[in-house]
Amino acid sequence: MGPGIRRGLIGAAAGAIIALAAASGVSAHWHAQQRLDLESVSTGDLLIDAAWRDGPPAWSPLLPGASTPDTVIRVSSSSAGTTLRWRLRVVGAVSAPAQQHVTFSAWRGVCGTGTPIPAGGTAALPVDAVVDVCIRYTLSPSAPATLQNTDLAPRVTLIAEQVVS
Amino acid sequence: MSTTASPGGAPRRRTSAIIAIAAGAALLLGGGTTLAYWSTSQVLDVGTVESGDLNLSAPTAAEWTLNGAPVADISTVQIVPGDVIVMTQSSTLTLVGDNLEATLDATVSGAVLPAGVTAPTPAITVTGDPDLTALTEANDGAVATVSVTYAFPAATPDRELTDESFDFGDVELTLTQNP
Repeated sequence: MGPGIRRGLIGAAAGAIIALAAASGVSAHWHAQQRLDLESVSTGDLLIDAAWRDGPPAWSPLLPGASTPDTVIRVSSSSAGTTLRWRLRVVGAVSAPAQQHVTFSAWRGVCGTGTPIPAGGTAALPVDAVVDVCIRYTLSPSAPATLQNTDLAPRVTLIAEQVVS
Repeated sequence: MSTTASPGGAPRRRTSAIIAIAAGAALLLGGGTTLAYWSTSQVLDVGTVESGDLNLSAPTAAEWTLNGAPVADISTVQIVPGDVIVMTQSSTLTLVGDNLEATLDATVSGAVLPAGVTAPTPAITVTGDPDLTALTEANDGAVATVSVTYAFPAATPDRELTDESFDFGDVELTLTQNP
């Protein structure tokens, strides 16, 4: 091996050592670490079940000025949530031609003497509340004859809404 | 067999012998040089140099709040839209070194979250409110408090994200010496 080749090899080896030293230079600084466990958090749920308390209604045909018999819907909450509060909205509807002539009312408790449920819903309820909702449809005394022998197609929608304070 | 004798062979052998003897004498003289010249020495006490330290203490137990109220056991909590949960943990900094300068950082890793849920960003505060990228020995013993806040969006519609588990993973609190 000639002196030139030997010098070249020595230079290359020295260069590699310097390069390695430079690459590993960052690890020479101190470093400390702690791991903090954030754990898991569960979300709750907002879920209600509604059923006719005394069985499905069998209403007789409405006459002008008359109302349906008091009918109670039992609403049970199977919701979950540490801070959850909710309100119940009750929306009654009928077929479009009858909308202007039929009024819908709902009370918490007994019809007429219970607490009326406004369009915005009840006051805030606890997570596991059970609410009896009494409903009543009334046909206006001035209902037109065109509504005779028509299906009013009444529908009741019960809506649970989270109350965010 | 024949032997070839070069002319003048005897004087050349003599010369070689003289050179060998001279070399040996020179070696002997060289080996004994220290004995031949004056010498003195002084011992200088360099003393003790201590290295510094950079460390984070084991974190304190996590403290949780739900809408500002303390929570004893986060595993029993079921959050709903509008809730704000905050986790707080502390660690004490060790920063010893005349020229030591370090950076404190915190990152969330390993979170397993439902689609649409963003991992919260940790916030760090240190006693005395120093620059977290230039901590020095003056901050030795300071307490770093990491807080992680998650606000469940109040606008979450319908029943989205009900009955889910939000695994927020870990917060890695890192103290690194500045290059």
